[in-house]
Amino acid sequence: MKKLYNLIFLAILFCMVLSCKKEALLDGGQSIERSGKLERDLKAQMHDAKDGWILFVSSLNTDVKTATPFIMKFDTTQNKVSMTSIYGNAVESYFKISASTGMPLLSFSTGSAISSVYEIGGTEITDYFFKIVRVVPDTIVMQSYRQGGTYQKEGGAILKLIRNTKPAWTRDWQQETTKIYTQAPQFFGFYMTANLRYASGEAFTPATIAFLKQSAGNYAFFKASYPTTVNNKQVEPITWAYYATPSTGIGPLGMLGYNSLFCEVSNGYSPASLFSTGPATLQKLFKTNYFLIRKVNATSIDVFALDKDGKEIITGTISLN
Amino acid sequence: MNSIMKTRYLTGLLVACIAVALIASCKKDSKLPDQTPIDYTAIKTGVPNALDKLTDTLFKTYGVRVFYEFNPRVIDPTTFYVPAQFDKAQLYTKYVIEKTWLEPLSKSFPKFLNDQKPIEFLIVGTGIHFNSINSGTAAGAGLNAQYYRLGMGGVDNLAFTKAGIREHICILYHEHAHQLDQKYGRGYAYDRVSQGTYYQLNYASRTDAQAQTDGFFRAYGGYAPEEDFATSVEAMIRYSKADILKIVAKNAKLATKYQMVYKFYLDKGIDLHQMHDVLDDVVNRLPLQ
Repeated sequence: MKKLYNLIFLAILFCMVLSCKKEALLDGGQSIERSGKLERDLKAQMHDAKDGWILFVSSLNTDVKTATPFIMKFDTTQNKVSMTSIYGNAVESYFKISASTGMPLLSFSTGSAISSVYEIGGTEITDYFFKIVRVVPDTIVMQSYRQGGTYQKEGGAILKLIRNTKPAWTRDWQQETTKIYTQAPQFFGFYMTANLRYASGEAFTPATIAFLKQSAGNYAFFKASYPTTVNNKQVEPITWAYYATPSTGIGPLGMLGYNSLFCEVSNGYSPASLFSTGPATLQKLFKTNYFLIRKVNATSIDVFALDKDGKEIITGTISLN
Repeated sequence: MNSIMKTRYLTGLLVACIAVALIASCKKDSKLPDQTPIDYTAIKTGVPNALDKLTDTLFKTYGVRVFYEFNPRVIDPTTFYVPAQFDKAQLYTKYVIEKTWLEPLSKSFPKFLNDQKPIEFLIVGTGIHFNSINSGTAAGAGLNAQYYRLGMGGVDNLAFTKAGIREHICILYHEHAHQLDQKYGRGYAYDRVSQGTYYQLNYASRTDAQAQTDGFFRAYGGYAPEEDFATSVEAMIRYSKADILKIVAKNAKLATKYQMVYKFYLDKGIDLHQMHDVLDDVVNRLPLQ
């Protein structure tokens, strides 16, 4: 019996000693390897995409059914990124790649449309640092480093950069180069009717709207102090009026961007009717926070908007009455 | 020794020998790995641009490293801000940091620059926030209660004109004053001068003219002793000696604090009144409107 106990003791001791073998999980080399591969794949994908990448950014406002497109071309030699979005055409800024927790970190490291969207708030862009989660052919999956507040957990929305294969909407959007603000004055100061069709089949009652130029004082303020119009020089501030009835109108802040119209809810500024509640009314009415311009005609503007998959879900015309 | 004891002794010895042999057989690293698994500080940089080259030159010439690009290792992730637009960062580095701050100081008061310069300078596009990017009133000084690092927010909104830069350099000296205050202490005697008369948060309802009769260079200086100290430095950079003497003549306490702050800086190697005149001249010669 005693011999049996001794043998059991020896067997247990033998197993314990064997267990001192190093665990692969504790081997930091695997983190280096995984992170290094992600980084190599990221840079290779960035470099190889001749036409760049498309990012769709959704609003946190559930009334908004569309997502705003950003086309980005990365130059991995110069660390420059060229962005085309409603905020401007081919606007250059810089990016940097460093390390996050076991994965690369992509930082839009100088002011850009991304940092501008982050600054205004209300979208999935809750930071301008992004953890690179996964890199697969034609897709880069990334996540905002922070959710936006000190006491929120790390990591915001998961976003996808999709290789730009020049879908039809990119051609429709970028063919129109007329600057409405400076070259099409006929659209300012007159009642117009917005007629929209939704791919979902939802009905839309034609809405009476008007575009008005901001007063000289307001214009100077927006160009000197309001983030969207300070940082995105191609964006012009306007009043995007909406008349629910002929006698009840609101005059929220709207923007004429690159081949686009858009409005944003900004809670950091007052009055609310101009910066937050007013734009929110427009977003609820149109179910979008932007329109891309397909064509500017003599008396009308053809517009459309996309969902997060790049599908055209709103098509419409804004016509002079 | 009886047979039972002998058996136990031999068994114990056998177990000990096997254990020693097995433990000794565990493979050991000849040395501990000298690298952390991931280098979190490494940043993949591309070809240096013109601004990178300028920041390198400033570092070599003055020992101050300018940061205009960020990742979470430069400013901690509980601080919320946005980087400056590249063109604004470039203008700021050349015309504010180099031409208006470092170069005139190195020519006029090299000892002060050498002893009191921060080794890092951060250029930030927005104000600095501490709960989220949209939370509360933005602060600049939050970055500046550190001896080695000076940071300026709101660069995207700065007017790069002679007037805009002349005014901004007063704010830069204000923020730097917070560093010297932290580093050396403005002193027990200073805090006693206006004790009990600070406006605290009511400063917002006071005018600068009223503040001067109450013993502060401007209303914000009446907020608290640390801002009183910093706004005194700011005022001496903003106004000529003649104008300062007119202002301090309005209140004896203000005159006392002015003498203290002026001497505080003089002891560190800089005459703030002379610096005011130097800056007027330097800014007037900038190739800006």
